[in-house]
Amino acid sequence: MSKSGDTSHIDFENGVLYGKLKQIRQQDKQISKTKPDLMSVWCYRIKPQDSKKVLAVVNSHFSPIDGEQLLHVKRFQKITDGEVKLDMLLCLYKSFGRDDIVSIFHEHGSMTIEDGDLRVVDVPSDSPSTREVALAWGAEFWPIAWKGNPNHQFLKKVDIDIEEVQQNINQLLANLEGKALPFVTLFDGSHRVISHDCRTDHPLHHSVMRGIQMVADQEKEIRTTATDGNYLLNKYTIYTTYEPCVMCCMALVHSRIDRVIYLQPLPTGGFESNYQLGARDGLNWKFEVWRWLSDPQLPPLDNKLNA
Amino acid sequence: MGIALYVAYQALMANETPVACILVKDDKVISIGSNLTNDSLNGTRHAEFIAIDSVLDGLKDRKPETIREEFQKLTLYVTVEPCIMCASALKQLGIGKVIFGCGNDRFGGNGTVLNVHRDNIGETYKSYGGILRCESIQLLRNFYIQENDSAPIPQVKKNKDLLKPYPPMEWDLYDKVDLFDGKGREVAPGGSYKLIDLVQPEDLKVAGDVDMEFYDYFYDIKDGEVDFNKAVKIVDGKRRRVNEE
Ligand SMILES: [Zn+2]
Ligand SMILES: [Zn+2]
Repeated sequence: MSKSGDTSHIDFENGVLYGKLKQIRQQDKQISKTKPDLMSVWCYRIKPQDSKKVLAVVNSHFSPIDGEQLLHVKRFQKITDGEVKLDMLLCLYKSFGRDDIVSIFHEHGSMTIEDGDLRVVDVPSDSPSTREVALAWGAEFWPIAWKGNPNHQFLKKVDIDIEEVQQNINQLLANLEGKALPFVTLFDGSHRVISHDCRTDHPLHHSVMRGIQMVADQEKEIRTTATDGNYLLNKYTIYTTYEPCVMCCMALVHSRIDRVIYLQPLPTGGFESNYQLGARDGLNWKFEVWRWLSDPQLPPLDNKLNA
Repeated sequence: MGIALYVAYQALMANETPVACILVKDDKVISIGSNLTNDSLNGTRHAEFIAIDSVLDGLKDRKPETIREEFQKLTLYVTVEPCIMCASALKQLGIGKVIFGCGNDRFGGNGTVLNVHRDNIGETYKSYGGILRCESIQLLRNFYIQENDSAPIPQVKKNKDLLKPYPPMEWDLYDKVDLFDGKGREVAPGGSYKLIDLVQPEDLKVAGDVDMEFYDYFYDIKDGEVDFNKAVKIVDGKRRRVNEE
């Protein structure tokens, strides 16, 4: 968070910070009033007086599994159909089966769920960009917990030291000298690694793939147990000269990287040029992807080359 | 695919995710790979990469054209649909063909999540799925049972996971082939069979000593459906970890 709540460095419209870092992400498909992407969620119809008890079970047994995936929708929806009831979202459909839910409530809430009270509903899987759309979706699908344009919220929260970014990019570029291919990557995290492209030895040894292996090797030396389990690139930023290829982008997803900054897009790349692998719905990990906008004077490349 | 399945079984016994593959040239297995992500701490050491590396190690001439020519002759048999990373790697190498077992719901790059094998980045390759699909899923379920045992939040899922229905393959996601039954869709053997009818111990020798217990981990197939009547083995992950220490 910018310390004083100052947002003068943010261009909200274009997703640019300090005039130098451009956010790479899927266009606001949700801004249109067309149908949102939906996800299936278990919904339990309860009496208002049971809501505390049910919420306690949800918080202890379901929310830890679902993580943040249900934070943008309201938990309860009031149903006035004769007597007042509440429809309550329990958990993602894919997280638990009906039998699991029934037995959890039986065991931990001493409640018996009637068959008809537990059903599956479809709710929007993301928060929309404007309040009007939030209201429209709320009326059609399920009430949205509107907290402002989610991307604006996100941009305000990004904690990035632009001086440090500039220094790391300078170091990255200094490592280009004398290399046949201008692909180099700097891994900045609990280990600091600079990796070069070695495709003349092995066609898949791109700088990102090699760097991941180098970090893993260094990590292996210090980890005492194999189960000491953080994902490898947790809390890492990588700086790389060109937009990585689809293979390398997906390798970063598997390694659960936190932030990627690159200088030049490439037609074969897996972020802005194809697939948006840093923030793709359906994959189990999303991370920040930025393009550095200052002119770094990188050589133009063959369009078919994979970085 | 039976051999790949046996290699995946070996991975399961070594506490790795049971996904494995073989690369085949002129009907001969030239390399074998299984998932090594846990041991290496490197989440990119998928079975495909292990098998690819071993082929490349054997190539003296590393010119890009030579490598491409070699991989064009190869067929990859892998128990689970290649993920997006591997699908792109195989494409960049110029693999001849890919045959996979079950789909990869979370990361599949040959139809489930993306169609990397036939997108317009570089040259396309052919990919078909569904071979020994139920058996591939059984090994994965066996692995995830032990995962749940050590999960910080106790889950209600238990051994009954093995008994869950096997959802029909979503064939529309994948490229179709009439290679095996001439009529179209289900390329896994239909009818009734035991795994040992399809893959004899003799065939498994290319992957090392044959452990006959392998066959005890799979249900039989009866009239095209998984027959749950047989008692199958379940890996005891905890006990094995203790033994190792
Ligand atoms: Zn790459
Ligand atoms: Zn893979």
